[in-house]
Amino acid sequence: MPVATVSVPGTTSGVGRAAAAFDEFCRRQSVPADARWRFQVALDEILSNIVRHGFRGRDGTIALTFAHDGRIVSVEVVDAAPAFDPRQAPAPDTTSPLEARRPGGLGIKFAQDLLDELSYERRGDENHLRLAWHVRPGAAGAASRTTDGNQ
Amino acid sequence: MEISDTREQGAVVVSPAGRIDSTTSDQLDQHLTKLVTGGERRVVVDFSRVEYISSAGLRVMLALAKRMKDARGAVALCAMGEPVRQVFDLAGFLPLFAVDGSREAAVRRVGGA
Repeated sequence: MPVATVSVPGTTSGVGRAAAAFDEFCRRQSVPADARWRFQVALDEILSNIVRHGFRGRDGTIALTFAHDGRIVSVEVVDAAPAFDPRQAPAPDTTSPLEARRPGGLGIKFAQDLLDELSYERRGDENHLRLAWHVRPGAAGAASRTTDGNQ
Repeated sequence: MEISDTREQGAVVVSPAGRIDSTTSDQLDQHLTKLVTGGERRVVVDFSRVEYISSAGLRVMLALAKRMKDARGAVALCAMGEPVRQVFDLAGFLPLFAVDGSREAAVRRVGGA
């Protein structure tokens, strides 16, 4: 199974480098367009959360492992920031009117709703997060999907 | 991120290209803020060249909508591809914005005609 790994600093520019590395992996491994954007959004959310709330300006590294076997695309994210289980994050506000709307907490919801799996484990002093998407037959691109990502 | 502005019938149409995420959203925010503080009251954001948007980008759009409301201006979004539309939908953002399929319709909506 094609696998690629990359380590980036736990900074905003590191998040950008991780996105570029995932793009490169997708190109080489012909990851379907539909899976690409879902992961790009989810990774931006997950990684920027780690930078902002995990490392909080301290030095740190985020290690990513990308895999694609033709049926499942997965990304594992490992960091040594304080323990944080994103599945326990409070639900965001998605209904208030404009004046009262706060955008916080949306990121975790996106990662959960756009992908099929989000699992978390604390191993020693590391957070291990796994994201996965089951490739839909005939899903060549985003345009072929018209409903939400949970089916 | 490349952002181009065009003037169409009194409205400014802002067209960002690529991804609107945590690495590019500040640039878009500064761009839009400058337009609004510079007096623009009819703004259209054209998403036709946007690959995807994450919550960092939604924050920028929310800030734009609030600023334009305070300034009694009009803002409309248009030409969202499926990835962009789906993220707006998941966030419950679609009811907060005027969203049009075409650029022409969005320009008409903000009163640029």
